[in-house]
Amino acid sequence: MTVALTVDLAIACRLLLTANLLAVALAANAADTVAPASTSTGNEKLRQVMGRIQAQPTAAQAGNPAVLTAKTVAPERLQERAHLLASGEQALARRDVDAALQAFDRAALILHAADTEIALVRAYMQGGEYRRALAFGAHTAGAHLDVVGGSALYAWLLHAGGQPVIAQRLLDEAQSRAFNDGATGETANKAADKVADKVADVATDPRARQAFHQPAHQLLNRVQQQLRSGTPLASGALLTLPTRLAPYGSSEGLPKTARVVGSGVLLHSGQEALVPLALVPRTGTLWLRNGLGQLVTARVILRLPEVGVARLRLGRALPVAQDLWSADRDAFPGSVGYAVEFVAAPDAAPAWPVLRTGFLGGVSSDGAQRLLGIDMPHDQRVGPNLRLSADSRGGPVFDAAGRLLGMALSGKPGAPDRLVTASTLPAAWRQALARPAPRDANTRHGIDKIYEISLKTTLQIIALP
Amino acid sequence: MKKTFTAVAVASLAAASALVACGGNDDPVNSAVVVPAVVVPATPFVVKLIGFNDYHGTLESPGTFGQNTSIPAASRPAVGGADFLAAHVAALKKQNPLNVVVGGGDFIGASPLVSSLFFDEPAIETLNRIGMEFTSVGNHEFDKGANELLRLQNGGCKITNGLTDPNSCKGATVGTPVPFEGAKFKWLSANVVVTATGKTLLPAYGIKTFNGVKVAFIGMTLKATPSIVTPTGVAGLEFKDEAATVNALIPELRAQGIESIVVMVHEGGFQTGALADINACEGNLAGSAIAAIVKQLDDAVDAVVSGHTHAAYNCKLPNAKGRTIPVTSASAFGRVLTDMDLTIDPATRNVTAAVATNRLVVRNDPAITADAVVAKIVDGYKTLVSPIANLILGSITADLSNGRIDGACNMPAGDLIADSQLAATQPANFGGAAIAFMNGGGVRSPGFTFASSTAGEGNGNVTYGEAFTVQPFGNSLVTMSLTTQNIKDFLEEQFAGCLGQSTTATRFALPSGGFKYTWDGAKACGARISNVTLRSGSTTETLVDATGVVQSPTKNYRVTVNNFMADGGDGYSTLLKGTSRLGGAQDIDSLTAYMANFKAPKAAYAAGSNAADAGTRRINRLGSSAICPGGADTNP
Repeated sequence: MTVALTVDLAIACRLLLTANLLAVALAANAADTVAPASTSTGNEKLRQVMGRIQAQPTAAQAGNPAVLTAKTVAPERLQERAHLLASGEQALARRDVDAALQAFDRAALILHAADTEIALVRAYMQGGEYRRALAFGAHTAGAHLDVVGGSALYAWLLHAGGQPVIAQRLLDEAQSRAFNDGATGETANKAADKVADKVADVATDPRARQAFHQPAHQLLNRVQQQLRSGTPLASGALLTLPTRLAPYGSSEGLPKTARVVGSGVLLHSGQEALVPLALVPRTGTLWLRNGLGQLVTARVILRLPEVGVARLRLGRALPVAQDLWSADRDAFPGSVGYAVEFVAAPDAAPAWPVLRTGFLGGVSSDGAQRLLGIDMPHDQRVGPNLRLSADSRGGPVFDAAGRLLGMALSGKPGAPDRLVTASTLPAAWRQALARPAPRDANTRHGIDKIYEISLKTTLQIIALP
Repeated sequence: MKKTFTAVAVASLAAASALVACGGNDDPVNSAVVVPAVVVPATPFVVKLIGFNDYHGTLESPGTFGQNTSIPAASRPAVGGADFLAAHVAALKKQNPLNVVVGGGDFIGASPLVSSLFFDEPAIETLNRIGMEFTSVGNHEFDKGANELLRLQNGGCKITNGLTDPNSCKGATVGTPVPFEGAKFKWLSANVVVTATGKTLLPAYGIKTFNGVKVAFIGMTLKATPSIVTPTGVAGLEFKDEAATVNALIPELRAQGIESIVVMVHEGGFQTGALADINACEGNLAGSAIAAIVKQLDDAVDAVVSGHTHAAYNCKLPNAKGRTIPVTSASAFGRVLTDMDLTIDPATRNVTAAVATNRLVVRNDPAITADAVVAKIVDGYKTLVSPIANLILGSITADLSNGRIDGACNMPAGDLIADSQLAATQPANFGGAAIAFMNGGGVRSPGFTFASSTAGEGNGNVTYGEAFTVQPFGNSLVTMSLTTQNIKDFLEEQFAGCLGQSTTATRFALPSGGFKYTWDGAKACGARISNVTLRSGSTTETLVDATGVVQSPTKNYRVTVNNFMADGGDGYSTLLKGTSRLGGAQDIDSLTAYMANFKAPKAAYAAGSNAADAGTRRINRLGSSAICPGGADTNP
């Protein structure tokens, strides 16, 4: 009895999720670009699909007390919910976070469901609210164990925010559950088939059909593969709704061949950035994008070859983290530090940066440089055949109080990574780095808050190869 | 207006406020709390019920939340967080001493990392201090199974593989009792029956007495719990129909003279409409599971505190007789509190009126100050959740004890720490130190252990957490200039009663590599130290010769100690004479930086391997005693 009910619930949740996945996929029609406002025809089609899917009592819903809530919600309310989820996703795709949250919140007031919660988590992230996203993501993962997207998203966010061990444990648990549910997964697929056959749009759309047949373990395996690489990149199926493990971001004006070559640091004016000189092309345009998906052009205004950094002027200002402060002195060797950077990528897709924790290094043996000390991945592998340069360092480095210490810089081949501290920069650059910390800004921050600060402070450097 | 049962008037002297929790058909499991007796008032009085649900271990603010959806996102206040939840509950309780705090379940499970990593012990510890008294179980209370729920109720550490799990019982760090104290409140599970015994897993209801009138609180989860919880979590349990369970309990309660009955049930509904005001009830939760339950409830039930859907509503729904009773839900995650005033007629012991208001748990009310005790617990767990604890700093070849290993008082763990402090302060801009001394008492047990800890870092590896155990004080390093005579005096004042040292304490500090001396406890104060040398590279300098004569008494050396010693701690008053002081890193930072020199693939640290020591021990003693002095006796 219990087992049967669990199976049915899994199917029901999956179908509800898939329905919304289809809805937004059809409506937003893309992942990485700003979604144009859907035509009224498109929206109408979307509503029809959603209405048909959700009004239809599935085999799972029939007789399952666990989905009584969904079952007892009036069909028109379920349709309203579907519409809200779709319109929220469209708002999110154009990075209108307020509108997205408004829609998702209203959807949440109709039905307590994983798809709504996953959407809310992504909306919080799109708005730069990592701590809120993480807390709610924890709830989604824990409350909807049979919807692996919640666990996948939570694990990804934990890993990105510097908790790889816990993320791994969570994924292992989710995979274990998925494995144990292997038989029920097959049952779910059959039930999904029946529903898919009845929905014309799904039955005739290979992509939508495929979405119905995305077994839980495939998603988890892909996430596992990425996280274990140490340089996780969300692409392909990992950008599929509802889970979508990356922010939406503008790609306006970006050539198709542009790619993420490394990371930089937004200065506190919001109008300038500090980047590794090695990553700045001699000619041509440069773009920068933060962890909220906001893209700007940039040009070099100053170079400092002796330190290996360049200062850029942004085409327009980017938002600055409210609690971004500079440290009043260089950090002591051995003290706790956090380095954040984007994974270099074969394309220019928006992403969330990755935070790594460690202990700051001392002065190099020749006394000329400060060593980063924090273990960072080298020799990034993107796909089976593509290996990216190890010169992609360049993100911000924070101390335990979340104060900006400087920028990480790749060492020479075979040499350890460096830390460009404020003290190694000319006075004018130092002042531009971040505002001096107030007296009460020396208390230790949680790692989640530091990552939240870094979402706006860390920049993807996008250039043509 | 609803009761058919009339009881004899209660005694004129009775407990003003006493609580007890009871099993369904069992005897009470707790004795009533004895409280000062008061005279029962002749007129109706008001009991304030404070309720919330679906806390889900949300220790920190879950963000902003509006009274309703029309409030623009930018205008919604930050809400929740255990510290403010505690403060708001306290403020409400202050309004009326006759109060009770109840919950609608899902207080644990599906919780943020700061609670879930520690098996939701933080959720319980904060709820204890928020003042929770009775709560229903919810489906998430069963996420980890009945036995784990019982542990959280009763206290005790989480045992993993026969040992206390490293993430359980962290009270020593966060300021709560060890072992884990368990829930001070009562989880109630009227409709959860242990199949093997036929009894409820937890008490079916609790009773609290106000002005001599007993009020019963029945708690239960949704009957569909098994279909939304991992099967292993509910194995051996049966979940009964909610309304039928309540109705079956009514005669039992009435037999105890109870007429005022509140039901907390972890089941809910949603308002219709888009506004979803926290004090509205658009659509009267039509078609919802909670409305269906209430519609079947016996007329004896006075109010229902619900949950599960994370929705907020303030309803009056019809019961089995068509009479409307308050049915509330307070959103989730500690965003909202239900403030319900129940008017009780002492003559009938019955609730005659109920007025409920849902209130946002705002963090910006100047009249409400965050609860400092709860905030400290949350901060403690926030620190613990940091990923740094299990990072490996370096490795060692064998145990480095914090005990004295010979009669001369050498200590391997202290040697390592002194070396690290010298290394951190040797560069000119960090102090230009030539010598470091570490006080022995500052090297905490057990020193550095070779065997892997329960964190599984592997034999020989030293984690940050282990290092922090040895160096927990957060002392900072101070580099100062001391003359040769100062150094000699400092070494002399290690002995009890010498140069201002306590008469009952002989305290040996540990010098850094390359610094050696000999002591003779049989000699008089001021004459016990000889053969003080400092080796740097291939050069060895003599500070005090074999007869105890100080060479170049006014020559300055840069010496590093921790700030405790620098301020004269452990009776080392000579260090107060140090000049040109430069503050530096924390002791743990210097140790961390130094251990990086011994992190794989580099060779592990081995005691006595510092080249500056040239293979001999740093502290030497005349005589053959193997006992290191530690009290008033300087020459045992």
